[in-house]
Parts: sequence; structure tokens; C-alpha cells
Amino acid sequence: MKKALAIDDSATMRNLVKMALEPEGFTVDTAENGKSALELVKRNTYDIIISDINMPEMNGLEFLKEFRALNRTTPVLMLTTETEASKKEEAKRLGATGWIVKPFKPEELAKVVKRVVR
Amino acid sequence: MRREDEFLKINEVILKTVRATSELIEITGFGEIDRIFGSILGELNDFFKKIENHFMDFVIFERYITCAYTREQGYSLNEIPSEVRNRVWEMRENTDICAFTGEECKCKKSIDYLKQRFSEKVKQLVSSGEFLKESSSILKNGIEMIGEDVSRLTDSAKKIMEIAEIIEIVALNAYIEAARLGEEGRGFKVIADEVRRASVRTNELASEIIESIQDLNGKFLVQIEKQTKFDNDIRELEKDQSKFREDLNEDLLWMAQNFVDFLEYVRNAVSDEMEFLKRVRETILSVLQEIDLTNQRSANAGKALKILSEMIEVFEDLLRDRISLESAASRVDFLYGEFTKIPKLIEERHVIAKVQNKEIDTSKEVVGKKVEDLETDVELF
Repeated sequence: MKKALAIDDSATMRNLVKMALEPEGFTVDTAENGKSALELVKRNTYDIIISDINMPEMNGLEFLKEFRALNRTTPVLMLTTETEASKKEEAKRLGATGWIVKPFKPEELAKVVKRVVR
Repeated sequence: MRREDEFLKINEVILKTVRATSELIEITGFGEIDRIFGSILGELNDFFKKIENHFMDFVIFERYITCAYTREQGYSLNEIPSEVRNRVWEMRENTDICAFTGEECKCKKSIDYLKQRFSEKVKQLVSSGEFLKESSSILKNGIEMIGEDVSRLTDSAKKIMEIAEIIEIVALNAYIEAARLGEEGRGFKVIADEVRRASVRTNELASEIIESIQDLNGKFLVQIEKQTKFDNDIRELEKDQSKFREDLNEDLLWMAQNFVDFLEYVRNAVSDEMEFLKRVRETILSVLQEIDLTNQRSANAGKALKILSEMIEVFEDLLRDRISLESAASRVDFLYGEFTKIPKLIEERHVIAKVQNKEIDTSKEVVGKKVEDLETDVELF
């Protein structure tokens, strides 16, 4: 069974990601900020990470930078309300796999995740 | 720059911020959620009505299919008039009054009644069948015995008749001989008279026997008629039994067909509802996201208000000559810069762009490769 990590300070969003991926056969762990997520990635191996950007304590881009120092292959999708090109460029430079703008359709998120996780 | 112009410039920046903040507050409203919930509540109302109707259908079905009298009412499940359906629903707890006829409930809602009714009919048929068979057997034996008697009597009568004929001939010959002999033949005449009397008696006896035969024959015919009637009765009984079996089969087929129809009806109804529940789930998910985004918009509007309040404080300090014009202008510019950094959501960015007399071209903001055929905005790097 494949494993996913959903990082978002909103419980609603974390649950929505779970609801989108679990029917597709994923086990989904969750974290409410980048700092908690870093703890999880040190102890677990994930097939995909889906992260918000604006979060307290450690934001999504800071998490991405730290994570890529540990792991260069696991795909990381940014799931955010941000739409500015400058933010997208920064994420791409830090090693993000893709950029999904909220609000999202759960079945479409699942489709994109399946496309990214081979 | 003149002092008045500096004032006007600061004033303009603050005004821009006020207008944008006002619009930011407006888009943080719950209007969208109200709209989504409004439509879903309407649909949910229809949904619950449908569920209630299906529940009514279940109750009516249960009553209808288990009631021996409903069959006699001649309704098919889909043809029950609405007033009867309503009455069935209202009287669902009442087993004393038939909800279909509005009269005393004869079946008391039961398969048991049907079983009892059939069982009585079967007993009745079996009992009358046995009686008829028994009667028929007695009749048959009677007829056989009569037949034997008739046959025996006929044979006897024939023999008597033959004897009578012989006696008659003997008597005739004796008379002829007596006449020829004259006085000497007197003895012959006496014998001839006796023989003749015996012959007459024999003939009388034969006639009696023949009469008896005819009488017996009549009785025999009557018995034959009776036998025929019993045979017909037996055939009628067999017909009854056959009709009963056909009726029973028809009743069972009727129940089975209604059951199949009902299952089909339920399957279609449930399939509609499953589709609806799927839509409800999707709507609820979009409402949840909308609430989350609204929270973000509210947080952004809160930040904007805080900056605006700081700008107003700077302006007040300026009016009261607590700070210099240059310092105030520099502070307001800085705050305005912070203000423009606040918005995250695309509609908020459009609000800010509008007060700056700018436009956002989102097509120029694509960094990766856009994933086509999705409603969600997705780029892969």
C-alpha cells in the first residue's frame, strides 16, 4: 500500500486530502506544519508529500528546502491558495514536483497524485 | 513638493487602502457558502421527502403483499389510488381495520390468513372428493350386483319360456290324441289339461320374471344415470381442484411479480438516491473548502485592517504635528507596501491590482506545465 503525507494547518484540508487519497489505496499521515512534518519524514518513507505553503512555525517552502536535503526523489506537491509566479518559481527551484491551487476537486487531486506516483 | 501635495498624496494612499480593505472585507463574506448551502438544503429537503415516500412504499408493500383481500381488490402495486395509499399509511399501526377497504380487516395482515384459507379449501375439497369416491364405489358395486341379478333372471326366464313351449307342445299333442281316441282318450285329456295349466302357470311365471327383469332394468338405468351424475360430480370436483391449483399459482405469481416489480422500483429509487448522496458529498466537500478559504480571507482582511489602522494613526500624528510630513509619507509608503503583500488568493490579488489601476494576466504566471482537462488549477514542474 502506498503512503502519503498531507501537511496543512487546516484540519479541513488535511481531512480532504485523506478523503481524496484513501479510496485510491493510499495510507495518509498528516502534519499541521513543516516542523511536525520533518519529524515524520525522518521516521517514515512516503510515496508522495502534499504540502500547504502558509503555515505557522515552519512554512511549506522552508519544509521543502529541509526535506530536499534529506530526500531528492519523493515527489512533493504544493497545495496552496497562492498564485503568484514568484512563489511558484521559488518552489520549483527548491525541488517541488507541482503546484495545485485551492480550492481543488478531491477526485482531480487523486488523479494528479496517481500521475506523479509511478 | 508642496506641503498640500504631500498631504494629498498620503491621503490618496490611505484612501486606496480603505477602498481595497473594504472590498477585501466584502469578499470574506459567507455569501458563497449561503448560496451553496441554500441549494443543498433545498435538495436535501427533496431527498428526505423521497426517503419518506420510499418508507411509505415499504409499508404499503408489506401490507399489500401480505393481504389476501388486496388481490381481490384488483389493484396492482403501481395502481393503488393515492387516497388508498394515504389511508394505508395513516392506518399502518391498525390491524383491526383494513386500510385498503376501510372496513373490518378480514385478513389481519396475514400470510397466515391466506394459509388458513387455502388449508380450509383443501380440506373441503379432499373431504368432498373422498365422499364422492366412496359413494361412487358403492354405486358401482350396486350396479354390478343388479347387472348380475338381471343376467341370472334373464337366463331363468328364457329357460322357463323354453319349458313352457315344450309343455304347450306336449299338451297340444295330448289334446289331438284324446280327440282321436274318443272316450278312450279321456285320460289323455286330463293329462293335457294339467299340462296346459302347468304351461299357463309357467307362462305367467315367465311373464312375472320378465316384468321383474324390466323393473330391474329400469332400476339399472336409474343407477346408470346416478353413476353418470356422480362421474360428472367427480369431474367437476377435479375441475374445482384444478382451478384451485391454478388460482393458488396465480396468487403466488401475483405476489412474486409484485415483489420483483417492487425490488426493481427500490433498486431504481436507491440508485437515484446514491447519485444524489454523491452530489451532496461533493457539495459538502466544496463547502468545507469554501469555509477554509473564507477563514483565510478573514485573516487577510484582519491584517489589512490592522495596517489601515496604523496608517490612520500616522495621519493623526501628522495632523497633530507629532511627526514630520516626510516621515509620515515614508511610513505610509512602507505600510502600503506591506498591505500589497497581504493578499494571497487570486480574487484578493485582483482587488489590489484594481486599486493600483493594474491587471493580473494569470496566463503569464504559469511556471510549469498546466495539466489540461481539470477544473482545479494544477501545474507540474
